[in-house]
Amino acid sequence: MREILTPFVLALLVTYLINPLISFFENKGYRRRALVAFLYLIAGSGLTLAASQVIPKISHEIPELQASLPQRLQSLKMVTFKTIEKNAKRLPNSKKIIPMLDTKIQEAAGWLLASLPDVASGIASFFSLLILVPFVAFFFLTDGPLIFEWLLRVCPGRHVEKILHVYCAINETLGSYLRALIIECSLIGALTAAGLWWIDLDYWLVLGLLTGLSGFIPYVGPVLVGMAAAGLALAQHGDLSAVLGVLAVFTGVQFIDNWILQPVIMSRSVNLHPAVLLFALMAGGKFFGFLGLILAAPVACIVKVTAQILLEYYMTETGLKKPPKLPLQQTLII
Amino acid sequence: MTIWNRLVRRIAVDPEFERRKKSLSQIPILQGLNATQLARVLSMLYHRTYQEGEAIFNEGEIGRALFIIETGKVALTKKDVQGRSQHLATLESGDFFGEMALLEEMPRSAAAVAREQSSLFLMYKSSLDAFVLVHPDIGALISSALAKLMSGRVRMLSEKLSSTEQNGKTP
Repeated sequence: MREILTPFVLALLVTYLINPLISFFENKGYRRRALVAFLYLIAGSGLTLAASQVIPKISHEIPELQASLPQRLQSLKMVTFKTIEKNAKRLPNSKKIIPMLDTKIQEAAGWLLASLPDVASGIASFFSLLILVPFVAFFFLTDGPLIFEWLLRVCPGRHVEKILHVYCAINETLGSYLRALIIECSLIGALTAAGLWWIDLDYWLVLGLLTGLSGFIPYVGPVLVGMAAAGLALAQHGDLSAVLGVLAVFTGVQFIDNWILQPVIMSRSVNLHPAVLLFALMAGGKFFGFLGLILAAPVACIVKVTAQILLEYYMTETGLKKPPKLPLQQTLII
Repeated sequence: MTIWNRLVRRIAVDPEFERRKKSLSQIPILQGLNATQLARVLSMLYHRTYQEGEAIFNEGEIGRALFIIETGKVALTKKDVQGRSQHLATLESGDFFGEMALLEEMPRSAAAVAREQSSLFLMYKSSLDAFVLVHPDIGALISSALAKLMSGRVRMLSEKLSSTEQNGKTP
């Protein structure tokens, strides 16, 4: 189910991002289908050009990481053992800890090496998505308004205003949330990549890209990538100052995100309480896995907006909430 | 016009858009707008065809949209104190109704039913509110036209009230 849903959900995301541009030109009197086809032609050419530059760099880094992983894990092991030996007096069970850690590190190395081919197959399925998602998005873009017109046509006339109310509110909230999120994630990814490059960490581009993508999973994503980057820094440089450097970069980027990017970019999107967002993330992760984590925040936005509107209708229709009255006694009729 | 231009026009230009824009230009509250502004207004409108006898809205429901008749006829009715439906007016192509919903989210003061198959544009309040923020110039023209219309109606009502009072005083 998850595999089937993924391309459709991603296509919806792409549609939301591209639709304002298509609508802009459609409102100048051009046919929607012609505009989408033209945009695909331009975007296809541009993406092919960009991919020809970025993919060789990334595909070069992954085998390099696979080749250097045993050596890096060895140096990570040495650093950890040295630290434990230095503090042996303070740690009464240090002699037991070293062999236990050794076994665990060997197990982790084996698991990592074994899972790298899975990463490669993941990249292959990513490329199949790269074809499937634009294909589905093409139909969403060209026929999306027709689907909505059909919905308006089949719903009873007296409910059209309610449908429009919910549609407008969801459209506005979701659209602004997704557009803001894309901009925010791109900036976070770029800032992290620049910071990691500055502290001379290998694979800064891959880590920057991962940090940008992880921004779609609030709170959890950047923490996981940060931990991975800290481990890589310890393995590469062999001392804790490198880890502190990584921590400084991630903390700095999070600071910029929380204090500058979010207030400026995300201010127009729906304000979800952190507790509600965390609950949505946990429920999404539990029932739909990784896809659920990505969709948790936008689905929570939709549920919040729809619930607010339906509650308002319920309260007005049952008389629990009285419609506002104009101060007629103050109105002078001339 | 060269063959190339004709071909591009045939493939890229939407004739339905031009037709709808032309029918909008006949609406009194949109008559002050130029072609570009009309195209922008069209972008925020929704469209629906109502069948003969289909309810568009009922009296007492909270209104959130203005309806513009592109084609067809719409009857406006209001219930009297005994609850009987009284016919107020029949509106035709180019007319609009429900404009009070754009100013205040209050219960509808009358019901609207399609008299025949009618094609209607819906100007939704929240779409108009968002639109006005982006295009204040068009928003000002629409608001001004609406204000003039409402002012005219208030004037007409007060004249009617005054003449009713005078008739009532006449022995």
